[in-house]
Amino acid sequence: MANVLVVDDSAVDRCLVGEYLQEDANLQVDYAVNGREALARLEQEPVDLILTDLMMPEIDGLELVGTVRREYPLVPVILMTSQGNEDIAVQALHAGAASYVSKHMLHRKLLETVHRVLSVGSRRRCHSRLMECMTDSHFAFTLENDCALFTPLIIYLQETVSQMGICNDGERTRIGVALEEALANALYHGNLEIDSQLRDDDQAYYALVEDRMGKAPYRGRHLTIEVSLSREKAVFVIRDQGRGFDPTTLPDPTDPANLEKASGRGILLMRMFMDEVAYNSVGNAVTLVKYVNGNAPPPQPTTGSAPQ
Amino acid sequence: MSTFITEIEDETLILIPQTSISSLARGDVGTELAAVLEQIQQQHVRHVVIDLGKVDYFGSLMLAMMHALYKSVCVNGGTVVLCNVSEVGREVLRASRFDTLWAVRPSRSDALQWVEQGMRG
Repeated sequence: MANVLVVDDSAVDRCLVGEYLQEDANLQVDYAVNGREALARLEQEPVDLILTDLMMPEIDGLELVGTVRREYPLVPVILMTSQGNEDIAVQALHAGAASYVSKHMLHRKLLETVHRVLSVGSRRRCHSRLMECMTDSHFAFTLENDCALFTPLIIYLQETVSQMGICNDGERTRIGVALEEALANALYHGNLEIDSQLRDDDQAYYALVEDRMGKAPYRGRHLTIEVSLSREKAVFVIRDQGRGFDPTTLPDPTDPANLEKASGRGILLMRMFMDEVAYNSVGNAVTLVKYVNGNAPPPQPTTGSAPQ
Repeated sequence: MSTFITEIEDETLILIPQTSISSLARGDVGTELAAVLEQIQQQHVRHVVIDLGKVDYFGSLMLAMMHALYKSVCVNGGTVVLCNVSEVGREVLRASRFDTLWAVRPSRSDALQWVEQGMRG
């Protein structure tokens, strides 16, 4: 039995939609008269699918889609649109609606759309439960100097870490910022060997990026990203094929004297948002560690005799 | 689609990034920034308000861009004010200490009022 919440301020439309839905005995139908009431209902009882009108007082359908997407990401929303609202339907899909159905096509399309969306929603919930059961995961990527793949990679890593319960939404964003900075460093300063001090002249900086993207030896270099996830921590190792650098030579970007220098800000943000950040001796591989709920282990006591 | 939308109110340019700007972004964003810097020069803009309401997060690239805007107005005694900054954005500003350089106000109207009061002061 699937619980469907119909949200519409028109009593006539609520009844009509309810009648179509009750043709399927496996659907339990409940009603709300606006977005606010729908959100209150979501807090009280489990809902498998929301079917909402667009134009409503208080919280309208589009706003409801955004809120449900943020706060109940596993609950799909189908928008019911009137003729002439196709543009808003597209906006709703961008905002995270699972689908939309025209009100004048309800008799033909409603049940079909509801069944399709419920089926996808059920698979997503099962996948989410399965991911919560994962205890360890190790995988790696080898990427060319292709920025187009970096954002999907970061989203994938954020989703995997989040699904395993390693972090909440806020931490997920922070992990994303740190990974972006690490990948940007590995690409621009590692593989392409571009000095961060050139950053002050944006046009010259990006002209050099474009030049080196197509020139040997930079063109043929790769980045490797090794990931180890467990119930305790997430470990990311990002390695470039550049000549490396000595991170201790970077100016401290928090020193007021260095505030205007571009160097070191990326590493500063990596250190800010990860629990551990360490470079290898060459300076072409960085290891980023995030502990579950920030629970880093206490420092290990030093063994052996103290240095004299 | 443009990354930045701009509006002018008196001597203040309001910059509204339409999305989070990744530190992996390439030259297109730099070209847009160059156009904004040119607008600042041509329209004799004195202050810049950056409304980050549509930005969930930002990193070193956005910091560098905001700093370029700051440099372009501070030579004429102007300033940069940020508003609608996300929690992660505030952490980034604190870590980089740019919160000591730029005022951070809760809303766009607060930011404009802050600029206006600063101009009168």
